[in-house]
Amino acid sequence: MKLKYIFIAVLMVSVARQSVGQHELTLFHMNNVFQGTYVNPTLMPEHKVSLGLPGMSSVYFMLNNSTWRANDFKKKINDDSVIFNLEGAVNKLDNKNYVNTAFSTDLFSLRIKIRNTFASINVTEQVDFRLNYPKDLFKLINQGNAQFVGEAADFSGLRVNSSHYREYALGLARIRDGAKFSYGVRLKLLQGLNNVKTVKSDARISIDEQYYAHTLKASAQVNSSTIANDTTGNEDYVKALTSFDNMGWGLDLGATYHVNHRLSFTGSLVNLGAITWKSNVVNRSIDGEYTFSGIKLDLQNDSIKVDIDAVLDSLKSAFKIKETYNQSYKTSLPPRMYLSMGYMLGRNTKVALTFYNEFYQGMNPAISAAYVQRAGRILNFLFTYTAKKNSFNNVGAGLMLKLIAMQIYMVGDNMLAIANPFNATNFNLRFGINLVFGRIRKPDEQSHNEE
Amino acid sequence: MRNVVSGFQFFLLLVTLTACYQKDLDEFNKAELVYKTEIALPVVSGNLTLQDTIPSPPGTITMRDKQTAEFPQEEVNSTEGKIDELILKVLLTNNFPANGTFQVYITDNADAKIDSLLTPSQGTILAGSSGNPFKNNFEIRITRDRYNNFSRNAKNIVLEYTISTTSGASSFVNNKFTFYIGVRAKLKNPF
Repeated sequence: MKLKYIFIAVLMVSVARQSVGQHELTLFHMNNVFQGTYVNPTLMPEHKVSLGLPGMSSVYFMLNNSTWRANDFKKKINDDSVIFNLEGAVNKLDNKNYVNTAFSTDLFSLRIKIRNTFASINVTEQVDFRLNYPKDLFKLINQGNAQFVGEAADFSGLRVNSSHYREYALGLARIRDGAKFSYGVRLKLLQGLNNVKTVKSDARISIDEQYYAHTLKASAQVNSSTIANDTTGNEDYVKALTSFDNMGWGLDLGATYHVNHRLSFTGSLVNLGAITWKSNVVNRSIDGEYTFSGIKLDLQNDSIKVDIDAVLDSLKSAFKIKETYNQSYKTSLPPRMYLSMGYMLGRNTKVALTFYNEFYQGMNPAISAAYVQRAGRILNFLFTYTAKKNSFNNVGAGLMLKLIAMQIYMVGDNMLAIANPFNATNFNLRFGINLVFGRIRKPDEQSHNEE
Repeated sequence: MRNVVSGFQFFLLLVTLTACYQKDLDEFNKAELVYKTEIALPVVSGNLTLQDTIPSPPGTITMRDKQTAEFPQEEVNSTEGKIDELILKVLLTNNFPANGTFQVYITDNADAKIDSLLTPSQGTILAGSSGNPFKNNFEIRITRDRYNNFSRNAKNIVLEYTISTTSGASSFVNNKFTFYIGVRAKLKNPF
């Protein structure tokens, strides 16, 4: 039996090789904080009522860079001499790279216990920005274009995907005292507010060896739905931030199976859904190929004339630029999956191993180990260690402090980044204050412990 | 009192955290930027065609000429120290039934030749035909010392050429002489 678990753990580590995305692997284990249900809908709270007020109950920020750290940009020659090391940073890049930053805040949240069911609602503002960039772009900036003579610089995959939406979620989590199974679901109405999506992005510049002629081949399409597309002069910003023209649906699912009073398995699939963008939509595309052989000199008629207009005209005619309006399009939310195995070491102590994957342009896995400690009624803390591609120094921490009815919490997956931001590739932090009432005297998890 | 202790602990934590990355901040502050890049660009191209019919010459005709232009001293001076090396890449194609030689050289204030850009083979153009053009693709390497010499002493740039028609050439119409010039430059802190 033990061998089987070791095998599963080894397998999980072996797939944690290309990880980006918005994992919140520490929050996943914060069972007494309502916001934990955003990633694990079956988390069972210790209070009958949890209330979150605008702006203060949950503020979340994350930054994730797939490869380099700030310190990769400098190189120490000796004690007195430091140089900017652009080449070192560029060499660290993969062919395709990724930056993701996100922000979210709860405008309102409420959870109440009705018999064995926890019902919740929340309204959350979500902003997500993702930029994919190819290595060749930074090679070009750093070393110039001469390195591509006789070859091609490949800028394919340069993409921006950015969304701003509001989420209205209704959640239900059901647990029966002593039951083996608990499950939870959150159904979300999504109100799309702004979006930019790169549908297609292929671009290459090849440079000829004979006299460095440049051939640019490009094919790209970008859809956007934003108030910035409204150029009528009658922009209504209030309407743009309250309109339900761009609607979507989302779903979070979760289930926990208690094998016995110590061992449990939890799985959740969150952030399923899509938004259809209909208002202020502009679809832009460009297709074409053009070779620039230098400024053409007109040597006729005993004079030399530089014909720059000819260059501009042929450039214009070589690329088909198309702009269409109000053709609606759909964007999917990147689904996230958590699979966790938890083991109660004692009444108040739990360890867990969690595998995470975000499905965004392929698999983006991570694996995490957690230590959760409950210290009386007023203090809970936990630590996690997370491994993912190019990032193996992620020590996360979570802290919940309850002062009368105020539940103050802070949680993040890479707290070392606060002490050492120049060596971090990723950082996320969620903090806030919930108001909680009506302590559940015999929390369900405890009831399992006591079996 | 407890609040004071907590506040002090928080302050200590802040100081410790700041100290952790103060070293990195200091290093970034004193870091020197040495930006080296190498760019390659096509600069100019052109072609020469004859629109009027020229009767077949009875033998060979040789034409010599020399054109002088002022050396762009100001532009070159403004880039002194920023260019480590310059390579001019030239592609010539000739369909005309005519041979030619040419040379580009730099002269100083006293009209004395201070440098010639081309080797004899680079400056040779052989006769071609419409189906079989003569091609000459070569590069002119201008090292930093050579470039500095130009920037200090150059006054004029001179193009000298000779064209000789080949015996028995039937027509010069529908023929073309084309040239493409590209530049490759190794730059240091160009901005």
